Amino acid sequence: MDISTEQIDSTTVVRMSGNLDTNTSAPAHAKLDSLIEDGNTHLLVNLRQVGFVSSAGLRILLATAKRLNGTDGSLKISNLNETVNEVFEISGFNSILNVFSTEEDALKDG
Amino acid sequence: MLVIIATLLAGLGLFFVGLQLLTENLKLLSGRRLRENIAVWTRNPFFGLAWGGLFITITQSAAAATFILIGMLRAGMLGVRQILPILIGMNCFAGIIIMVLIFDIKLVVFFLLGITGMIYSRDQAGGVRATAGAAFGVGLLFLGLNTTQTGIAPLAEMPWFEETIAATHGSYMLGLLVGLVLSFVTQSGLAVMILNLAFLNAGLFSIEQSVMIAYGAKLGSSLLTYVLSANLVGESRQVAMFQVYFNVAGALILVPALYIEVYTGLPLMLALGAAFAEDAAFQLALINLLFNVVPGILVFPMVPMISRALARYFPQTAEEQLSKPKYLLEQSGDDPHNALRLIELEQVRLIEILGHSFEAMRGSNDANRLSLLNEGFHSLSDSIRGAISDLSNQHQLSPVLYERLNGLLNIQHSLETANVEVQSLSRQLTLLKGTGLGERFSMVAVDGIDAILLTFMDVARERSDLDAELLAGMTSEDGMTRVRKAYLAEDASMDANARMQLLAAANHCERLIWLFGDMGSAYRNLGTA
Repeated sequence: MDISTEQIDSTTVVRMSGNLDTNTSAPAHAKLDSLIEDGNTHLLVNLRQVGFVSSAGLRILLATAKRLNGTDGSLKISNLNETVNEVFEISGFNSILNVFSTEEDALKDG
Repeated sequence: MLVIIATLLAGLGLFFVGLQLLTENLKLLSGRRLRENIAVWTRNPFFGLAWGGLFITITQSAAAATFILIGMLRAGMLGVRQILPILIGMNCFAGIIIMVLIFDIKLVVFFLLGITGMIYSRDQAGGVRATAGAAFGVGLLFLGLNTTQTGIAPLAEMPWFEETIAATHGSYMLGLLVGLVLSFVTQSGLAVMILNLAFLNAGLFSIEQSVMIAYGAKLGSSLLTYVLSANLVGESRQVAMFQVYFNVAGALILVPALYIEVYTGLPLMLALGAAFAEDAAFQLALINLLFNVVPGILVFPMVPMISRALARYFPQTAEEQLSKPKYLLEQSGDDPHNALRLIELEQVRLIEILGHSFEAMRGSNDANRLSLLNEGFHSLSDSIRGAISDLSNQHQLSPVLYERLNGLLNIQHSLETANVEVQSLSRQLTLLKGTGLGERFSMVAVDGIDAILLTFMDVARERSDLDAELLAGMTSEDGMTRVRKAYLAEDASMDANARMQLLAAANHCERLIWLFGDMGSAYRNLGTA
């Protein structure tokens, strides 16, 4: 899995590509953790290049959201493809995480 | 010839009806209490030997008895160390039964059939009728075997049969092969021994050949067990392989011994048999008994060591480890608070089994692993229910503790329902995987529900408010309904059958989501871990 980051104003955009599953979730989790430790507490994870997110992948997103909970930070997710959106729908992640159609929509949101 | 065939058929008919009657009535007798008693009675290895005798008497087949024991092992009723003495007893008693059969037991069998038959027909229900029915079944089994033995005797006088047997005359190895093949095909070493005795009595085989047939019958039974256990792993395989090794070890010693005795004149088994009896049938029965009893006596004191060795070569599977209680063993009977806490910890392990089931559903949907996990779930679940029952019977709990116990009982019931739903979902997803859209639905459903399950596991383990709120949020939306509707939209390329399967799978998913959410609320009500 390839992960790139870009700072746009106060938000750190994390762009992932590949599948976010059991094999790739550990390095992805480590990357998100290190970003938070470096003081980047407003994260936007863009999943446009991600083909599938397994339960292990969902778990690292949830862990990141929990870590930011109670701080002034935030986690946003954007650009889900159809399959990933279905996993989010079934798991109820659409209800508990801030999910946006596009990166632009997410950045515009307060 | 027609009379021989008719008598043989009559004997087999009586045998099978007897077996059926016995099995059905034993099922009626087997409640939770009997299962607990079996576990208690087999804790002593000497009682295990006696149980082995009962098993082989009932089944008349070492392979069948071995698999009944494996079933009990998988049901969590017995452990490997309890089963090994039973197997030894089974092998020893198989020899004793042959000894009994060479005597005329008709009189005893007729008494048994008469008395138990009258009780069985007069009593309408209950344990007495079931016990009488089981005993009547045993009587029919023996009558069937006796009838078969009687029926085969005139065969010896048939010229064509004599000529066929004569063609094999003198070849011991052929005798071994005949015993092996017949035992494998009929699945009953005892039945082969009945025929063997009949042939020996009729003078169709020499004592040496009959002994080799007896050895072959043992090997055939082991071969059958080996073949039938090929797909078993872990403790089940340990039990099966013990039975295989038991007979193979006996044959490895005794087959060469027979050749040595015949060709060198060194007095061994044949001489021992002849020293005790003039009658060839008795000699054969005695040698057959020794084949089983001698290794049994040697092996019995080494059961703990053999058990460890088997565990090393055929290690317990992850599923078997999951199915064994981890905390309830330490349960303190004096402290209901502690007992409740240990029950809660075991329930978390049930949730872990559900998690492993979702792992098994991914990719090729490993049906065998799912089946093992299902067995493990039931086994652990039985232990938890037993602990809950013991706790409520042994203690007068405070109202607060009764409330807590009630909460755990409700969670237990929901977990058992969830396991049924998981197994049903797995079957539906297997059917769905043949279609393109079905494949995709399977993938998203398994990972979506698994994500909820993992959060539910966090709630059960840690009881944090944040996890409970997240779980409530995840399970309160009807995302599954939206996904189902999209898949079942008119323009979706699925045939009617696949649509029905998807609908059924989605229903299982919705019930699981509801159950996990409901149990999450129940854990929240139970309070801190």
